[in-house]
Amino acid sequence: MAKRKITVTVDEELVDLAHAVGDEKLSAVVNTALAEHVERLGRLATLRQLLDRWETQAGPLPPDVLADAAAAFDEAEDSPRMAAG
Amino acid sequence: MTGAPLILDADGLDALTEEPPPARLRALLTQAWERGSDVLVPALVCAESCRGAARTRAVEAALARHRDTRAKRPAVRVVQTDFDLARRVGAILHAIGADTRDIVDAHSVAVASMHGRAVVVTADPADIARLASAMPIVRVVTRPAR
Repeated sequence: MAKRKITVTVDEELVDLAHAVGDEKLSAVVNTALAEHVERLGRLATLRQLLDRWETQAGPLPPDVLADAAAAFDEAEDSPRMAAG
Repeated sequence: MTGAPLILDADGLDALTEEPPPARLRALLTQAWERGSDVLVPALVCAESCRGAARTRAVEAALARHRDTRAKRPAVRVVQTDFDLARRVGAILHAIGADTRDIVDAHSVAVASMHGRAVVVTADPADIARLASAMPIVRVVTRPAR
């Protein structure tokens, strides 16, 4: 794939850390990170488009259903235990 | 930092093939979008769902949905079973004395363990809970798709 030279600004501490752990190929590291980021943004954009389409087809979601979904994520992100809903 | 991933087991994947999917699954996907979370399907889950031509076509269509742009990407990422994931699955099954009948659900728990936390969409919360007990430091929350 063709390459383009760009200038990026990153945390100095991160660069030092990357060198300290033996990763000298920072261009490859930045390229990989950017590729993963773009991939994620693309997936989220697709998901947003699907959610909008489904809302047009079926109408808005009930507030209690939305609240339960939010609670599930809150629980997964906050408490270190298993919980079934 | 991104949110906890949303992992679909076979029931979640089957629900995703509906147009539109059930409200509970749509709500979970909405939360995943708001939190920037990955939506994941272990590849072995597809084996459970892809039985028969019609179901297979429905799964293929659901996983291939994408935007019509240069950066088109499917909304859902299929997690391939490599050696690391297979080793995690084996460890989970061994830890709770389960056999290979639980191998598909064990993949969902193993994928959760790779992220340290997850919301698993499943019709079998008790099975997921039993398997997740093998990895008590992993935060696993279950919800039905419907």
